[in-house]
Amino acid sequence: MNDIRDPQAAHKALTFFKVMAFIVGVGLLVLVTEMILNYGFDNHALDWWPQPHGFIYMVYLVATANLGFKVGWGLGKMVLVMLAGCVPFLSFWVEQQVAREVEGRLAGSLAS
Amino acid sequence: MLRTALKPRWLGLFAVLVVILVSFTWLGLWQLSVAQDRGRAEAAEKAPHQPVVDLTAVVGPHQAFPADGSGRRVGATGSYAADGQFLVAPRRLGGRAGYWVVSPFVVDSTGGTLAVVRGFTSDPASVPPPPTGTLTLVGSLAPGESPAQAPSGGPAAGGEEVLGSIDLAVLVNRWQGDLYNAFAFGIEERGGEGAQIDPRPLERVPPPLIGETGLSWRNAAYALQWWIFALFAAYMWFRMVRDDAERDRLEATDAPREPSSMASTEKSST
Repeated sequence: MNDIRDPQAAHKALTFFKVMAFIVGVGLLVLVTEMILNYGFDNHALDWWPQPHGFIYMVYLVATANLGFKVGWGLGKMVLVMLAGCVPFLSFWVEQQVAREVEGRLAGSLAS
Repeated sequence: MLRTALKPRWLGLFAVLVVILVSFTWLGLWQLSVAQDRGRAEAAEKAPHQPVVDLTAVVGPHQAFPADGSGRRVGATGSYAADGQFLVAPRRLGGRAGYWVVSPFVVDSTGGTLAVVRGFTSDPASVPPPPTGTLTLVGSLAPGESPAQAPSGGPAAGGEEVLGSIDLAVLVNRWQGDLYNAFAFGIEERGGEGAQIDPRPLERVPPPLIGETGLSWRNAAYALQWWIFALFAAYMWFRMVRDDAERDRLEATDAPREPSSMASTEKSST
């Protein structure tokens, strides 16, 4: 179960995941800014952001699941990576960890 | 695949999935109702800020009710006819049963008569006559209602006639002169000196919110998102079961090969 069945598909899935993780990470910071402005200063300049961010987060979930299934993650790991997309800044770190893990395994499976 | 799905692990996750489906569906419905309430509140907030248009610019006597006429705030100068006031029942306001008080308002500029809902009362015995003299009326325009049977029991205690609806086809035979194909919910009446006339003991009937009271776009999007998350959870479960079934199948096809290959080696060795 440890090797990746289709390294090329997994590589594509990883790229998709990396892009989405970055977008969601940045979007989440915008969302936090929106909440601070809205609830802290009654400033509604960014009030349009939460819904599009919700949809972007959905794409992130799809990207995570897509990658998870292709590299054989368990459900627990997938859920954790998905939840990481809800924590400001954590998503950037998780994205790095995931990229390192998957790239390492891909290099191994390509070499063999 | 069904046999895989019945493994305790997948059954357990299926229970989790059902909980997620039910709760996310419910959360979506909740957001949808919030969206409707917000949309309604926003529409209600906007309604009183609509500009008041002169009635003659919107519709004339005997003219067809304009497509965009419902809920238009119109103004007109004229006076109430002394006769012709009637009640409409059964109507409700704020949870109380009662009557609408409808009076014929003769518009100065056209001489046509417009039915005006002056207010609501739960006591038909103490319906005041319409104010006299020339006054300026502001109302929310509405098309005539469909015919409805008058409630049984004849005239109300105060002697005013009770009808089942504001049916303009009925009114055209009762009231003198030209009739507007419309009626108005009275919002305010001002007398000659510009002072507002107090409708009491009648209560003004708030005009209905017309057309799309609209959804709050934001909350409707949240509702949709909850449902998509629910579908996504279902897909995750399905995909994991499918993968597991696939693994089982691969193991099942791999497994018999080993004994058979052993058998063949045995055979060759013999």
